Amino acid sequence: MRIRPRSTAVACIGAVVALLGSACGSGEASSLSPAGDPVRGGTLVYSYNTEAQSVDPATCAIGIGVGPCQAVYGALLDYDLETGEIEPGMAESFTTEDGKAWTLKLRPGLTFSDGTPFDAAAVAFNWGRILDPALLSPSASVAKTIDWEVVDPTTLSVTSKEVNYQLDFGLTEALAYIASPTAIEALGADFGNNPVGAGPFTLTSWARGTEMILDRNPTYWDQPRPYVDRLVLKTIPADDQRFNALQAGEVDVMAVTVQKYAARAEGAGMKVTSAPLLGGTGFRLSHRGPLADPDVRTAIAKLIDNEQIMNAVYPGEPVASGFTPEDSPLYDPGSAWPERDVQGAQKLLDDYRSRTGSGDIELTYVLTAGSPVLSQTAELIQSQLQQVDGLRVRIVPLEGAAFAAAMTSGDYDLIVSGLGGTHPDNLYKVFRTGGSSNNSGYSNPTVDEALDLTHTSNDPAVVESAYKTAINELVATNAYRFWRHARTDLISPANVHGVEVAYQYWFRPELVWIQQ
Amino acid sequence: MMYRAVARHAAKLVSVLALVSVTTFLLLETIPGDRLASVLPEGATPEMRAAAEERFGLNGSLPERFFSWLGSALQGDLGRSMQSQVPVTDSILERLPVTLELATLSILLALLIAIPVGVYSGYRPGGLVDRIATFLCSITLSIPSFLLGVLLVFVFAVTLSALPVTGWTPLSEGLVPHIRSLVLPVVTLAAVETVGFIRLLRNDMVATLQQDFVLSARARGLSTPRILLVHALRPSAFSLLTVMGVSLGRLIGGTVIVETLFSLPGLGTLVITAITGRDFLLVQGIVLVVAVAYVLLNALVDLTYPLLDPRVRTS
Repeated sequence: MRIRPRSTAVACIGAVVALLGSACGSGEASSLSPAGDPVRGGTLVYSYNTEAQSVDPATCAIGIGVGPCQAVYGALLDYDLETGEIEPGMAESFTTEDGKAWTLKLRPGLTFSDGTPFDAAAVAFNWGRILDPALLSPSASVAKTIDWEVVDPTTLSVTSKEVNYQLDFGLTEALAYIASPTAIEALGADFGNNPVGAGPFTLTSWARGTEMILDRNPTYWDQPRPYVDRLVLKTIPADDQRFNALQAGEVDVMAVTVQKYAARAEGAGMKVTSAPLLGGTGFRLSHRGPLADPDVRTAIAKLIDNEQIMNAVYPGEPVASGFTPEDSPLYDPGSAWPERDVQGAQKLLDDYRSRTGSGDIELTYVLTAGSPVLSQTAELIQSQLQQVDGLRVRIVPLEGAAFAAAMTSGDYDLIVSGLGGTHPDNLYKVFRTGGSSNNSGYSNPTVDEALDLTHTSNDPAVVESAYKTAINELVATNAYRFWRHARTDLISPANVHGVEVAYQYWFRPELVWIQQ
Repeated sequence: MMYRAVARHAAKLVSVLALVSVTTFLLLETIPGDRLASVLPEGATPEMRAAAEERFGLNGSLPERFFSWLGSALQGDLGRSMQSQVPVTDSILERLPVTLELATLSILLALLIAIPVGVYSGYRPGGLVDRIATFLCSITLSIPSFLLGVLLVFVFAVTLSALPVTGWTPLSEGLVPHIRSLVLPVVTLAAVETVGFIRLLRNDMVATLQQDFVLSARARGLSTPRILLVHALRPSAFSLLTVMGVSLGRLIGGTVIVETLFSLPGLGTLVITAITGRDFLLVQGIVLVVAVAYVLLNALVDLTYPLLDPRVRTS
């Protein structure tokens, strides 16, 4: 049995953070016979459309790198999307009474796969390493908000520079993965390709761009897990080709964000586990240039026709009528998108142009190149926005990293964007003034105050209310607009058990077993 | 005479490679935008930027950076990938054998089909074989390789379960699994090459078979297979050899679609990863290696001309 101890002060946050997880669900194939108890053995093949660049814990903790990192290192804490609980992982607990002074307790006797101890000093070493500018770690934005001190081999005292009752979420992602300091020092720059951790699997081989093979770590603390002998992470870029491989029995867990495969899979007797992601498929609005004006942003919001986009691009999928789905605990009628109103938008734009004396407004719509779905959507949005006089939209497709560069530098007017992750604390990074992912220039005292409250309060009702306030204000000020709630589907054959969405496209491979 | 030809080619090779290295370096220097944007995390500090510039060798003047890069490249050190931190040389050497095998087998398969079909079509232009070959060539040419790959996957992998959908099984894991993983990508790549080879060889054969020496051979009573395969094929293979060299070079640098479709760990998927990840050092290394391979292959093809036609040797 997995144990789930929680600090009294922090446990109550879990209920609030189940906000989006409540809609998690899985479709079981009706022809399944009872699964019985988990059994060991077999090879599990997981496939997604891209792969990690490195398995260095300093750089892999955010984004697609989470998969192999979680498998090799195990996380200090795990976030359960379904319950909203933050659960023990490699750490037994992470507790606080005041949101500033935290205590991290590690499991006793943990060792890395190279035989060296996984102790508080190893955690301190890894977190200190994240702060090294040369490593370019995206986790540094979290690490620099805390100080820490080793108390004894299994205890680390952590002090948050600000009151933050959601710091434990940081230990499920940015600060989650701890590697062997001995191996890091021995391997230097090559460590990310030869990682040594204490997680459920060890890296056996990596054919970059195609597959990574990991084998069961015999010294993993939570025996008899992991159940499968071998985990293969296979990169198959095209969704159709990935689904073909699933049907042909070459893949056991397929991750996909397009919902059409779920129905096809269930029709073929497979299982589908789904989890909503924060936000949706849409675009973020810059708050610079003409878009710094609230009327221009409102005009854009009034011109977008979600129904048309969904019917044309995602037929059959539900249309997002607002920021939060109606079955979410965070749902509030105030988070509904404004009604479509072309004449109203025209008036707002005309007012803006006469007020500022500006001519036609030209906006860039930045998207990732090579996606037919995104290109089709971009053209629809272009035509919807250009229904008013004086507004022109230029579509700018950019390759992967160029797109990322435009995003991080804020070099866009409108940019295709999700919010990342599943936990609503991501709102803090994206929309809080000075947030580490706030590249749009958005700054709103009401949102800042509400998001600060989500960190400084340990009252679930207050936190929930604060999230609703922040979301309603984001909608009212047109900071972000989407037409489809983002969702990850994990599809697997009926004999593969224990697959649940964790993080964005990932699952917990140590919990999965294959019915023989 | 042969030594002089080799020396002449070597001199040309050196000048081409020098040009390639300068162009490759400058090409990436002229790309607009922040070259570190793809590696710097959100909220990167000035210290992080400075550290990244130093790590990736972007903090000197242009000539300093070029000679530093060239000096290292001549010693086989092309730097480390900006994204994965793997040495560029290691990444390329790891992927090159896959692409080379894929390209070589595709060319061999194409030749295996094209030579008999092209020779016979040239021998009997307008005959049944020629008409069937022309028809099939037109169909194959009208199907892009990515679509052909998907069709082959649907039939042979999904429907018949005879071959794997994707993936690469190294030879070390057994000959049969290795060949099974190769069949669909090789057939997909070979299809277009085969069409080109057949058309080329057929037309050259038609022209060759009208030459006086062929009439003379016939008059001497030589058998048709001997005339076709010994006397007519060699001079007709001149263009085929040239195109084959170009095709092989092109395939080494251009199996991108097929490698991506079948998830093969070759240079094609590496270059896609490098370009989409704005991994300039990796792109630079791959371009250099592909360019060198291309130049070497064509030099090799040039050197084989005299073997096919002694007149080239004397000229």
